[in-house]
Amino acid sequence: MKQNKIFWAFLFSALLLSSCTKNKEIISILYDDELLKSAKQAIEAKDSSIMPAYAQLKNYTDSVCINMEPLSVVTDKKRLAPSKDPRDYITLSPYWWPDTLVEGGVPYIRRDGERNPEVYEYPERANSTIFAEAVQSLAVMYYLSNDEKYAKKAAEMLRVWFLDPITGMNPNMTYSQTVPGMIEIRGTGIIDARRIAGALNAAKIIEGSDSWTDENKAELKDWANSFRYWLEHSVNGLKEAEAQNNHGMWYEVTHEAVVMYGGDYEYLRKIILEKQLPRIDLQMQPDGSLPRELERTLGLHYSTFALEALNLSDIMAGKIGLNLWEYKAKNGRSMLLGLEYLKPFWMSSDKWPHMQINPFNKERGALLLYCAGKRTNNKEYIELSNSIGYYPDINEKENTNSIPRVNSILYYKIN
Amino acid sequence: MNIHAMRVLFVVISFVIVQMSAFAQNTITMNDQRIIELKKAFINNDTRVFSFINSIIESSEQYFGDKPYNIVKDKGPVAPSKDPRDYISLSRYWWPDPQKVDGLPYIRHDGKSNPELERYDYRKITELETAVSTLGMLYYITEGDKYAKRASEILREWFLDPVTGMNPNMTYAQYVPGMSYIRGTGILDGRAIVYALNGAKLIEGSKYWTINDKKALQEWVKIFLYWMQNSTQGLMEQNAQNNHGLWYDFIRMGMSLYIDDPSYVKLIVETSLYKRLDAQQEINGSFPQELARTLGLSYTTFALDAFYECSEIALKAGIDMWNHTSASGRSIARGVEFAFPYYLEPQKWPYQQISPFETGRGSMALYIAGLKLKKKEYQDAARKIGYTAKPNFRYLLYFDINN
Repeated sequence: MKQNKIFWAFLFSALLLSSCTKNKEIISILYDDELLKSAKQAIEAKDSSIMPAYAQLKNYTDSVCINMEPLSVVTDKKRLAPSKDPRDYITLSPYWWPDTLVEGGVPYIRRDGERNPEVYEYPERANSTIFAEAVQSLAVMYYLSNDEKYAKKAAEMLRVWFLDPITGMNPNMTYSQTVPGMIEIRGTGIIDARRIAGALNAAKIIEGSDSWTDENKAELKDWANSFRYWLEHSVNGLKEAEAQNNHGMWYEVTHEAVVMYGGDYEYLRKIILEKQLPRIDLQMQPDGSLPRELERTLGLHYSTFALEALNLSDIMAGKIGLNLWEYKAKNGRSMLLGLEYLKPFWMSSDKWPHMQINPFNKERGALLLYCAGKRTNNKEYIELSNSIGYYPDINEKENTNSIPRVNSILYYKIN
Repeated sequence: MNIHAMRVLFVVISFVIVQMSAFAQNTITMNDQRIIELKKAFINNDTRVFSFINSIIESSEQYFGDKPYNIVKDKGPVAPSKDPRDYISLSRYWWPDPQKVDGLPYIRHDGKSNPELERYDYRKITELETAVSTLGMLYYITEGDKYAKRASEILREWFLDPVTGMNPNMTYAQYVPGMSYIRGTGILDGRAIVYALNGAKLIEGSKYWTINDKKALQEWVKIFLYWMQNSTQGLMEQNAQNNHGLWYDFIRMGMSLYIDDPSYVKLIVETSLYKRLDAQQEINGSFPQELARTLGLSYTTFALDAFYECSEIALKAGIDMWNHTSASGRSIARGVEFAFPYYLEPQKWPYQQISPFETGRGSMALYIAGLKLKKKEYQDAARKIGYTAKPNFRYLLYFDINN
């Protein structure tokens, strides 16, 4: 009888807990909603520690994004995919060059670190980056100011990129990072889909606005579900899911974002627990390093990049009641172990014992320390993050999934 | 309980037992009542069907061999995507250009099939259709588990397997080598998928086709539908002004029914298919776009076939298309009326028909119209033209044609 009572009490609290997480309103996909809310409150209170960052974002969206011609995969297109369909996203793998020993030059051959200028013949990569940044900046401005004009512009840009019958991108990345003449199908181009995740993040944020109709929402959900099917079933997707380095982690981040946008939270939980977490166990060494990233010429960057992927997974996980920063694998691997490994080198990157042929932006470390500190209630991490500070270079956007102007608002407390 | 009540109860119970052994299986495109009748006829050793079904059973051995049912193994030409999981077929009437060294781009000779067709995936998709729909019917009629087991294996191999599963689009269907623009015409090949889905419906309930299998196939179909309704090719085919537009609607109606969305089937009929009838049919019942072809009577019948097939799906969504006459007087009945005299005397066809017309097609079309419109004249004409009995289920559903 007593056992029975305990059982019912347990069941009741479990139900209560799950209904709490279900009912909690989700504002965004890729941002910590608590940070968004507190930023909004700070702005409403005209808190001097956030107003310069807010002015910067507002100025940028008012002067650039609001007037921007909507971009698409068709914009300035010079080269078509082998499908001959301009709506197929196509980019070139940057380090591959024509083979001078072969007539016609194909298949291309790899010259690591040397960027082939031919990549600029394929504007989708740059355009998708600009699009994702603009649409997220607009969405955040809409959330912070409640001014419909931002949502209106974001909605217009989202429709042109995804939903328009002439310009709308087909829901796959079959031709992302193509290598001319290569027979083998690769999955690596899926890493470009971080911008898609970002755009879905923006769509989520403007969901309450009149400019983003229920029909738009349903259509983008269908798009996202088609893209999800491609990620989960195509040769490209299946290969990228198996990638043993940061690519596998970023694949899952995109996958999670797409699943979350589709509203399938049960499946989101499943892939976080069963797909993403095992990658930590598998890719990390006992000292917290990620050997596959250490062998790169930009070792510190790629190590941080991998942790940034996991941090985004944690942000999504947090919205359904999971905490990945507190996760520890049976073999002892964890995100904190990875953080501990990198921490000293974020403080002084000149001590990095591996290759890093370009300068490293240590403010990326500050963000990760801040997130880890918040999620594990560790003051030391917060203080460390404060000591590094966050004064981002607004042009730094190529290698992370984050937008400096938006981060300056979300993480205004770091400084 | 008095004697009378007991009698009623007995009748009810025996009726229920008969119905249970022959419950309807809710196919996509077939007349389910006729499937029940066919099963009863087989169980009762009805001579009109018995030997035919037995010979289908015999020849069904061919589906149990090692032959692959997928587009990856023994691939002929691979699609420009280089992905063997992309379906690719050749546009039927296109040939190498003899004026060009490499023959590219191909040029069109309407009505002349290029034998290179065989090297592509079209042959395979017709084999899929035949195998799965036949095995599904055999499972339903004989209740032999092995048919459901094999059908489910083939469905998984073709659609769901991560190595051999077809990608859910037909970007490279009816491909024309060397052509620099894209077309939507290849979606016509998707008819075979709808007929394969009949097979998937017929094995529902078997332990070999699990709920998860069904869900996975429904997911595939949903994505294919997304492609049909949003891709450039899909939108082009949606705008086709001839039989292609009709079959486009047929495919999306069939697929919508398979994903349990009958209200969408209804929407397609009301907002699209009826408009096509108005736009494509002349007041005399002819389809001028089909009359312009070198095989005019064949294509007229092909357009009628599309309406027939759509009408069966529509019926399952609660719409009787045979009773529909548009404001301007267009109807399926009028289409049949136009073709009727030429089914009786194909030699009087005043338009082009560069190969002989298969009279059995006309006979079947008239017989079904006769049943639907309750016109004895058509049924009699169908019998007069005759239908050479063949061991295939499409014919056997109407086994009473030769009474």
